[in-house]
Amino acid sequence: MIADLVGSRSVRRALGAAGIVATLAFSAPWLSPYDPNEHLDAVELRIAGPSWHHPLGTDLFSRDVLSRVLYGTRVSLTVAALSVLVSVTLGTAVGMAAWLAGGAVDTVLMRLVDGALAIPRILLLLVIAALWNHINLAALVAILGLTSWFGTSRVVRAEVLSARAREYVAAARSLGLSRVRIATQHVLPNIAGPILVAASLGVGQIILVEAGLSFLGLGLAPPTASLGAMIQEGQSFVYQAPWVVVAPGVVIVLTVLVFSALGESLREALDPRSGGRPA
Amino acid sequence: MTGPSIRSSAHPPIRPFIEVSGLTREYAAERAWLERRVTFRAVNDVSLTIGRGETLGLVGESGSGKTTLGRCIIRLIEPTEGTIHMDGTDVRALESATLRQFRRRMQIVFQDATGALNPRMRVGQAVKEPIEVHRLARGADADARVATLFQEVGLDPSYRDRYPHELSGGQRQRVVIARALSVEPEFIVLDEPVSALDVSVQAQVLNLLGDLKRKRGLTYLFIAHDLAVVRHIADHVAVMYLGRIVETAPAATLYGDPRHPYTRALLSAVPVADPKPGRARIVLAGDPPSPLKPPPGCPFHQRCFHPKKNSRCATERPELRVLDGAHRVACHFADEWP
Repeated sequence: MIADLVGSRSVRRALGAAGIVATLAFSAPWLSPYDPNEHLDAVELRIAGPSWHHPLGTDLFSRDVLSRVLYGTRVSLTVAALSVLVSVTLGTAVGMAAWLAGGAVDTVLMRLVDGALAIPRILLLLVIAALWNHINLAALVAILGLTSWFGTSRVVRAEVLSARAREYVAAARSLGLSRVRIATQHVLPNIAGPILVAASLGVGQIILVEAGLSFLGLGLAPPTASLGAMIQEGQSFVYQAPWVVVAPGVVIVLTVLVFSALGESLREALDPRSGGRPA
Repeated sequence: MTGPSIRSSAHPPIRPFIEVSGLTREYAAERAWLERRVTFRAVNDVSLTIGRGETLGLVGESGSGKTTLGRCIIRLIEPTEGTIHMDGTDVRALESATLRQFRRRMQIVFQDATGALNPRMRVGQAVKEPIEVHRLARGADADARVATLFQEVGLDPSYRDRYPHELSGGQRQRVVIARALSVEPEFIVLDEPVSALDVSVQAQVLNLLGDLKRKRGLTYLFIAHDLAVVRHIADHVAVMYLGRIVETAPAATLYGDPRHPYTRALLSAVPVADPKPGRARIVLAGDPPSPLKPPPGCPFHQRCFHPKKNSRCATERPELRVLDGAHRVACHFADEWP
């Protein structure tokens, strides 16, 4: 499977782009020309336009926008990656459990998931975030992760349903293997592809949601640089200093695009009907 | 090849190795919302016995219920009614943990070897896994067993590190056979094991199955859709039609003196090496009726060509009755052929 994925040119390209974004974000401490939270010069550098020393200008508090964007991307990617880890693990576990337990448990779990899916996620997040006093990184990851596994669990269960109709699952049963063993050794490896796709698309979605939360002032506490928070801070003087808003905005769009492209290319490479080699 | 058994499996002196009685499997048909629940019987009141070390050939066309029957016997599908005994053990009474252990003794070889192998598992691991799960051996000992099994089914042990898609159809079926043998079963359901293979490979795999049976003293239920395939391997043959057995007999009797019109039709379709002039090919009219609405009377009467066929066939279903020793037929006019 891995060989097939790496063999696909669109997957290689998307993977390369995602790698560049991640490398830039996680090299923030070395790439940033300034401390992202340092007020450099409240008089001279208050919302100063792009210059040689400050390629993306400075913000209201004379902080370097380039440094803040780099650090902000790191925060957003970390939050997104960890949240997706939580949501995909939970979603897979619930999806598998629904199948393993079967019958009434399956029905109840999936109806609960349907119910949760019917509530707009941003509304759910607003309520939770508003009830939470001080949101740190772990809390944010928990909030985002715990509210975004519903879709994944549906996908996993659907895949499990189709996988269990395969003859090799019947073969495993006839050999006297336990249900847990069949689930982990025979079903899970065969549904890893769709899970990977869900994870990759999930990263893009979480970045957007996190930016939205920060924009509404419900994200990480200031002065932590986050892409959404930067847009929120810059919105009141967007006409005088558009760079403060445009820089994080462009980064959000590009990052989401890259991870969506990665998800789409993975989906394509894994789909046997798309004409590629069988996965 | 073992000839027809001297012991009659219908009246054995001791309890037969495999004894199935009144086996029925019902399915709910697709239905629209609020529509009355409709069930049909894929397998309908089937009884059969297989002596230890014997092969029962089970023949019927698609949809006759032969695969369902095979899977019910080893409890891959739960029967709706009936009893199954293997070597005196009530197979239907086994609870899940005991059943898992008992599965060692009864195995299945599938028609579609490609589908029966996990595409993400190396074939050596596929054979090794059950050995370790049933604690027959582990580590290097288990690997040695895998190598021996590969040789036994005619595969080079170096193939163990390959994935199923890197093997040919015949090789994959050999892996499936090796995997079934890995737990040292006594009884194997062969569900059309050669139907998906090239003709040249079919003979090889059939020979392999015959060799294994003799060497290991295996008991087979050999499912096939035509009588030609089971001719050389079966001791007894049962013919299924619409979920029921319509004729069963020792192989020589069934091939030499078939009494059910359906068996006669099936036999006339078997190609022969030396066709004599005057050999009539019986072509049945129409398709088998839907099991959702089985016809009243004999399930075969609409397609029947028996010269004595009359109105009784359309109203009264013939029971499977003993014709002569182990030869049983479900036809009112089984002994009135011209």
